[in-house]
Amino acid sequence: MAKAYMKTFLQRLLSSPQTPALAGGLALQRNKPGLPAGGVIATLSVPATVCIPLTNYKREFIQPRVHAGQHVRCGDLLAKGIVASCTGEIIAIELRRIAHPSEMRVPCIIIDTSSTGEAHTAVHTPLSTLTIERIKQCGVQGLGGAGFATADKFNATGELSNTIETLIINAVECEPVISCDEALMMSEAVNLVKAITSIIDMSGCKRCILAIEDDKRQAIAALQAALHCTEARALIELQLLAPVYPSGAERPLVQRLTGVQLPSGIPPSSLNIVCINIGTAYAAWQAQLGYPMTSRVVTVAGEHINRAVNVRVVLGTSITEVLKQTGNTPTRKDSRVRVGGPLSGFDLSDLNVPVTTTTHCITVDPVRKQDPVLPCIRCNACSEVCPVDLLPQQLHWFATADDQQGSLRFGLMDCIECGCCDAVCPSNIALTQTFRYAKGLHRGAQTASLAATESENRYRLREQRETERAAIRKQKREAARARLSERVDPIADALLRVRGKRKPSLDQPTKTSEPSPGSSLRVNQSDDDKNDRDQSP
Amino acid sequence: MSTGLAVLLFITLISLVGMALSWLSRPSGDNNNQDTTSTDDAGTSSNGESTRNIDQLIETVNEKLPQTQCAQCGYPGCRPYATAIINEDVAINQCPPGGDVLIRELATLLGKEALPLNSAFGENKPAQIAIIDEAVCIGCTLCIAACPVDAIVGASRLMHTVISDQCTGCELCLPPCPVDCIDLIEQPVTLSRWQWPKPT
Repeated sequence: MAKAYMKTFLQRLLSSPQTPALAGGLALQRNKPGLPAGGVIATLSVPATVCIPLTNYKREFIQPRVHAGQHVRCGDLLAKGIVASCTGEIIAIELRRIAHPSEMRVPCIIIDTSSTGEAHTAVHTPLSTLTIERIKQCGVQGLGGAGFATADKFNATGELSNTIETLIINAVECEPVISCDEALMMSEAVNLVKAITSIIDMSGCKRCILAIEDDKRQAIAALQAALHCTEARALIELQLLAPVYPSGAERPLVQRLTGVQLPSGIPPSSLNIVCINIGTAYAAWQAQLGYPMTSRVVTVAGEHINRAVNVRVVLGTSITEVLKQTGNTPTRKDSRVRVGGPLSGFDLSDLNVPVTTTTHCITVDPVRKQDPVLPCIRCNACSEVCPVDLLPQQLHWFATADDQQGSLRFGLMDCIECGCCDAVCPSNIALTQTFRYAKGLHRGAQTASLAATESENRYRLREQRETERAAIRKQKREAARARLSERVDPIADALLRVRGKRKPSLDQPTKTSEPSPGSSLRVNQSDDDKNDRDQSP
Repeated sequence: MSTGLAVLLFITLISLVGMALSWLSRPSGDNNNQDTTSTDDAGTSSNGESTRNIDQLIETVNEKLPQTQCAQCGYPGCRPYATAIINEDVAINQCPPGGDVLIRELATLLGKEALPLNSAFGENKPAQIAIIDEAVCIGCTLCIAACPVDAIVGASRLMHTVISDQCTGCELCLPPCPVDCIDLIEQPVTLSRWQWPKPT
């Protein structure tokens, strides 16, 4: 670690004056296995069934628009923002485990592809210019880490605003092992330049920065060659950064490249900056050509892997299937399969989980022995490496004590969960997990407080309604009581009515000539009715 | 003789010092008294302001209460309980859903002692929601009338169901149900509600 420290320090000294160095971070050994030798990324065959989770980037359930038994085509909208990754029949919509640290079962759409097995097809007509609608239509999601809906990044308010100043294409893939973006750049450099150009045209941005680490020599060479052949070289600034982890994290990257300090909790888009992953840019361009987002490049690597590769995988393929098709099915008992890189990823206990847009890397490594956790010795190593200038040792103190106010004061919500502090901690303290736990507590408290406000409002409305109803009831009761008090004695009333009936029946026969008994009865009856009506208010 | 005189002088000096000290300590007490009387005067003269302050205090206490509207505290809802805490000096340890966390918060806010939860009013339970066994429900609408937050939908002789996002788990729908078809279950953990566990 001391070596890494020195390297970081030297890099900070030597980095270019335009782009400030990352505050902290780890200068790790370059370890990018499985880069395509021939420059072509292999595509895995479509599995027998694909599983598409019905969740969005906020991890909320999305109501499906399809039903079991329905035949769907590749690119059909299954739910808001989710498209079918291949053609087939929906055999079930059921709870399945997904690749998430919770290993929770969530509603998923299972598509049987055995009859057709069609994927990677253009289902829409190619467009001359890219539009937000097309990005939405093709279900393009961020391929970086969070899986944010790409259309939402460009139009947070609902329609594309022409105020996007800076577009940042994030090609910084700083975590060891993960190399899917680098592989894409090596194999698709020309198309990537086209993709970036069309996104520049769509967003109308004034400046476009393509950020990449300087140790990705082949990728840089490929991109530069592609840029030289087009007019796009005037539009795209290629910004080389020192390969320090976590340079690719969105917030620190945006701050370094633009010099704009992002206030806590404010997304870059509110400051007219949009930052998208290079893989996402490629997917957006594919959308322009009519291809829905049905696949992504996944790195398969690790110590217990026979052949490290980068392959294009249909979304919804299970991890077991990916390992099988790449000839890497784990056979050893002491292996652990991990989704994500060595620092930011998480281990899986069940391999039958689908690849989603955020599954950039699958690693199979030997089980790591957990070193005993020792008390904090206040060595300050964690705050030295923290890329967002927090004091993890202080934060840890508050977070373990469940002191939310203290944690928030020390910038808990600004933690990007990069895992640098864990990597350098000599006492093996699980700092990042403590912060994730504390963040969860805070979010839970926020949700509870929102729910409380909501239920109070409902309670108030109900009370108001009940009061109004009670008032109406009271009014009615009083009216009825008044009516009763006005009313005369019912017997006297009846007698009066009877007398009223008799009079005309005694006088009438003499006046009218031959009235039929029926008609006299009718007259009497109508008189009677009239009396009744007169008496009852 | 001179010894006696010395003793007398000493006593006189001591008593003088004592008087001086008591005089010094007196003004602050007087000031305090004056202050309270003056605020009382102000209270009576500008009655509106003091009621506004009290309203604000009730609002602050109400914001701390969990808003389950369960009436376990003996008041028909959270706001009535908040009002009673401020206006009638009712104990702050009568809210089972709020539990000890709420009691500590209220104690700090109101400068009262943080007593443990009074178990006569109920016990603090993990968050729960009501669920209707729709096959058994006869559609009597009694639970709809009982729900303090309008979280049950349905109509007479038609199936009723609980809007689980709105249910506060107050248990008020349980007693009126004639067919006993309502159960309370622990609030299910969804993916969006899931939290990282605390590292051991």
